[in-house]
Amino acid sequence: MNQTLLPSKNPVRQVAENVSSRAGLSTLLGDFYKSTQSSGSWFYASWIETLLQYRSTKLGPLWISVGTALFVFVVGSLYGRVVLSGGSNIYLAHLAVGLVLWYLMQRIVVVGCNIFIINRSAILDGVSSYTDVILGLVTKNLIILIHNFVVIVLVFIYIGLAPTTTALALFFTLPLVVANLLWVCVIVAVLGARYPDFQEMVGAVLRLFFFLTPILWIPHQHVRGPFVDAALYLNPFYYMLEAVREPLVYGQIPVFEIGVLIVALPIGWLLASLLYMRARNSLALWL
Amino acid sequence: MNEPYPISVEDVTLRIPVARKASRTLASDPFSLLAGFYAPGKTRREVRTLIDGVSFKVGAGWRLGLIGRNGAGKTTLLRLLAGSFHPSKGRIVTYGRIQALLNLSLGLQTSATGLENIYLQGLAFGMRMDEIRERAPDIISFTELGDAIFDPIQTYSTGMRARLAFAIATSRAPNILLMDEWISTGDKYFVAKAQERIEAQLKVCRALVLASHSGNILKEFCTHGLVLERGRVLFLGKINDALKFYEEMELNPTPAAEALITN
Repeated sequence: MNQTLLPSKNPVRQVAENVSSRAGLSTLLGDFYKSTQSSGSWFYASWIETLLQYRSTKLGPLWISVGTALFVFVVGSLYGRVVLSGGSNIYLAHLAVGLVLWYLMQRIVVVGCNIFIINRSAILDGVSSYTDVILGLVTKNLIILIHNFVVIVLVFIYIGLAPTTTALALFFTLPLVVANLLWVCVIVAVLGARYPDFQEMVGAVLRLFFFLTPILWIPHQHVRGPFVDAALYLNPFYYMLEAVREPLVYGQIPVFEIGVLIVALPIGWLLASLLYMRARNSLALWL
Repeated sequence: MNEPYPISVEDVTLRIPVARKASRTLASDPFSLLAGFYAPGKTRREVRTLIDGVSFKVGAGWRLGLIGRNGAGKTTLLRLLAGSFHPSKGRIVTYGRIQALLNLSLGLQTSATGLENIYLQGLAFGMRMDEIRERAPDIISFTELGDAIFDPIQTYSTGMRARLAFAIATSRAPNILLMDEWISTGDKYFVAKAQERIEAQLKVCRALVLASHSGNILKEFCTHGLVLERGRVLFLGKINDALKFYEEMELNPTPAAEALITN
């Protein structure tokens, strides 16, 4: 009983003066920092949530991998013959990495639009903060990514492709992609809470982007032209996808694409911070 | 008595924007429901004031009961204190760790077991893993769930959930505990147990704010009462006086109260 009676370490919390003066540009980063301090509750919560979803199944969370594997091997075998007209095996790896990364990006963005609304009661009751639920969503999708990574490994073994040392770039590019997805998630989450139409819109647009992004197709030199280039260079998902896939599958470091992601990072976080600063104090009222 | 007030609320106002449908109503035009799906029509934006210039201080050791009709602003005020709503005007200064227990379902994962929820909730309340592991036996014994702790929450009764949520939330004494109506869902035995626990924690838990309709619960838990009506404070004083004031107000609103309400 003794330690329960210790006074809390941080006795003063000021809930401050005035709406305008309360949230600043650093509020977003501050909130994220506070979330990381709360001993990873969102981490454990998303882990449990993933397990619970598969609790009564025999395979458990491996169903994630099974679904992806099925798609990659069946669609990959067919499309590999059609798209490359009987060409090389690399298509399977191209598709596997593309699809797995697409799942990560798509789920974070689409579910992100709704994430405050899904967690409405926890937020209103002061159990979770906005950044808690965003980190939870990203964690959940990283758990899915790990399960899907098994499929990538299987494909590499199946087609006998050995990643080169360039694959080490992943240790930099994957966190870079996730850091970019985080600010995107903040923006769509705020807009999704404010405008009920936003999620539908994003969902519709992302279905389009699945086909516009080179996941099912390969941007070969001989098909390049203004239209194809537009689908690549005006497509934010292309950069995130390429930064991971090039080093892993093609053994090249996509310097330009990585550069774009590095530049996008501070700009995106600034935009997200500005939006969050304006919205934070009224967010709860929109839910 | 130079201890700071655990809670001081200074001239707090909360206004929220609401979008209202223009005149067409379901009663006057039965087709409006169908038409409304495809052409929502113009909405009027209004500002509604939920909390209106409220000021009060909660002294150390107080257990404050929020009294008022449905829609008087009790839950809203608790959410302001919990920090999930931000005042449009004025400020709230609180000292210490706040624990809000506003909703019974709060964060409880219905498909997870009771034990898993102890961990989930504990982490959400900012405890560390080892801290929770240390306290889990204590929490389980308070809930008196026995082996049911290994069953999913969705098989629990309302009372069982209430015990679990309360036990987790109070396992580490917060400095300020905020509770909403749901406490009245527990049976007499639970209420007595909860009360005992709060008494025991009073050294650390320097303030309790509790909203309830039940006069009995309020009398058992609270030392002071705050009567709210349409977002305004009508009365703040000893719990018995506050309840008496509320009863009288219900029966025949005094001119003073009436004036406050209509303005």
